[in-house]
Amino acid sequence: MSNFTGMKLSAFAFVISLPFLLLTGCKKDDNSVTPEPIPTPEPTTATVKLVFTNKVAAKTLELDKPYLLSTGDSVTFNKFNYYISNIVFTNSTGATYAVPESYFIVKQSSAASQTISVQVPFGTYTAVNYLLGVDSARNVSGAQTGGLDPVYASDMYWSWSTGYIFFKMEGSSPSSGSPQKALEYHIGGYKGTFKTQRNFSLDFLGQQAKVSNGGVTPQIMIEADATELFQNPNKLDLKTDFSIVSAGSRASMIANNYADLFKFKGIVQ
Amino acid sequence: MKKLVFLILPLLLLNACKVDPEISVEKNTGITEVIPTGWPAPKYTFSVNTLSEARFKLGRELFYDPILSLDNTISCGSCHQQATAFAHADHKFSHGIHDLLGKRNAPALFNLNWLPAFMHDGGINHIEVQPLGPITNPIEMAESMPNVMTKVKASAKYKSLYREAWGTDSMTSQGLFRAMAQFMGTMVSYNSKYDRYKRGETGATLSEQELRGYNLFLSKCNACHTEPLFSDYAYRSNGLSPDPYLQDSGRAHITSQASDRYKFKTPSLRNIAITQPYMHDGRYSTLQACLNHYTDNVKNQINLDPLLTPSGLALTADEKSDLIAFLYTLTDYQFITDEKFAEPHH
Repeated sequence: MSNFTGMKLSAFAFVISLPFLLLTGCKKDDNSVTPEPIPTPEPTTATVKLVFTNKVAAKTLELDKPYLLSTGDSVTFNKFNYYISNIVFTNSTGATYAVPESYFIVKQSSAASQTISVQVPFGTYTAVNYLLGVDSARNVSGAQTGGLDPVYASDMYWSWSTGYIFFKMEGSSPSSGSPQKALEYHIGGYKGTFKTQRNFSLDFLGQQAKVSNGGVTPQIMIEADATELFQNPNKLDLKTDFSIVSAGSRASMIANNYADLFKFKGIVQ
Repeated sequence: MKKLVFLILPLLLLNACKVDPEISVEKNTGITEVIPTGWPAPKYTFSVNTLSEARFKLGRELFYDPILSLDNTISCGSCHQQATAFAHADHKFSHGIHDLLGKRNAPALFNLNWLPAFMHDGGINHIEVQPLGPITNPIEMAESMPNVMTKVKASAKYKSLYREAWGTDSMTSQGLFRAMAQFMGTMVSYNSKYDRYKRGETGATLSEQELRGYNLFLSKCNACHTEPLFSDYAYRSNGLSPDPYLQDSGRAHITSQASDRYKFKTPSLRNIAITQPYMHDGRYSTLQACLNHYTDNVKNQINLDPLLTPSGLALTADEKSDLIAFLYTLTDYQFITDEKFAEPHH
């Protein structure tokens, strides 16, 4: 019995002291030479900005203000948002650079959101390509982060019929068939014939965006003419087409209208 | 005792030189992915959402926490209760925020990793984003995701649970949703009397009546409520006359296709004896009434499933009793009493 107790105690002491022994064992070697600071790697990328300006024909779009459209309808915009994603730059040699995880919501109500800043490798760029909308794959891949986080996208996401809202306009018009004279376009849909993403390839028309170490950040100026929503190729009859808020053929009709929403307007550098 | 020391020693040594002593992510100890033998491959597999006990725990806390609703009164567990296989007992429609009533019966929750899509209309396409539906629905939890994040981030409890789960303090909605997917996706119901019988477990037998019911099930029901999940999860109209007040077009609400009008996702018959009321609008409160529908009340309407006709299924009263006896063997008492899926006690 006493033997047993003795063994137990020594084993106990060993176990107790073990963490201390191990602690010492893991200590850094005090005699080691202080390592050279890791040199900061030379930068290889810099910022380029896409600057979006929303217009109604020649006028700058402002919310909550009536505009007489070329369609003959007077329209007030209360909300004007769109998703920009999958940004790809082409440089002067024809090589492309896809900006990873490039998902942004541009909102008329937020001046900051109208400038998208991304990092690209140093180079001279001659064109940019992007989607209005979110690629179909990310609409079916579960919980997302960053520019696709439903917290960031809370106003641009359908929770009852999974998918991002690619384009959202809310407003009013005396021509609207709704009792409140409201207009409501929540456009999305990522499947088959009801896909409403539209691709934009903006050539810089001989101008160049020079991205260099310490150079001036180029700003690519882009305009979106909200009139496009209401015409070309499908002129909307606001008496009936005042509310389109789910994926389907009517959403595709709007998407075909916004397929030429953006125009390249120059580079500021 | 020496033996014990030698057992402990390697464990201590393993831990002693951990790279990141500040934040330790709890390792998977008790939470595992269950794929019962003979079942098809699940649609969701945790391949990008590695299971761990701490993540499951975070998901379980969120599932039962009314913090996800606008006025902090409604949790997922309010309408999905374990004792009834996560259906809402005796509620045709569940009451959400401010006692607002929905239009569809809250479905039971189990075997969710096998679902190709969620909700009666299949509108939600992924288990990780499923909670967004009820959270943001104005008559259910009526909350916005920015508000949810503000509340959860302000909670010391969730700060700690999140850190244990994901090893970081920068909380994202993805971390919350994936944790919830771990809780919901591991709710696998596969231990009913029927399952034990099929596995040939000792003492697991079906009575003569249950066996007669099983054979009837195979000939009359299994084409849609297909074993082993007891559904093929296809969208069908089963001949219920549309409720003129609810005006529920079902699957067509999602697809905008006339050919999907009045179609709803075929529900699993597992645990069916305890998930009353039945049908997408909870119109029947007994299994007998459901079978009476299939024999006497199938309405000839657009998109009626080709496997059904207005003349109905041919079943005698005795056969209905036998079928019901079989359906009772699909109740999984182990699942509905499994402590790890219960509301946490604090």
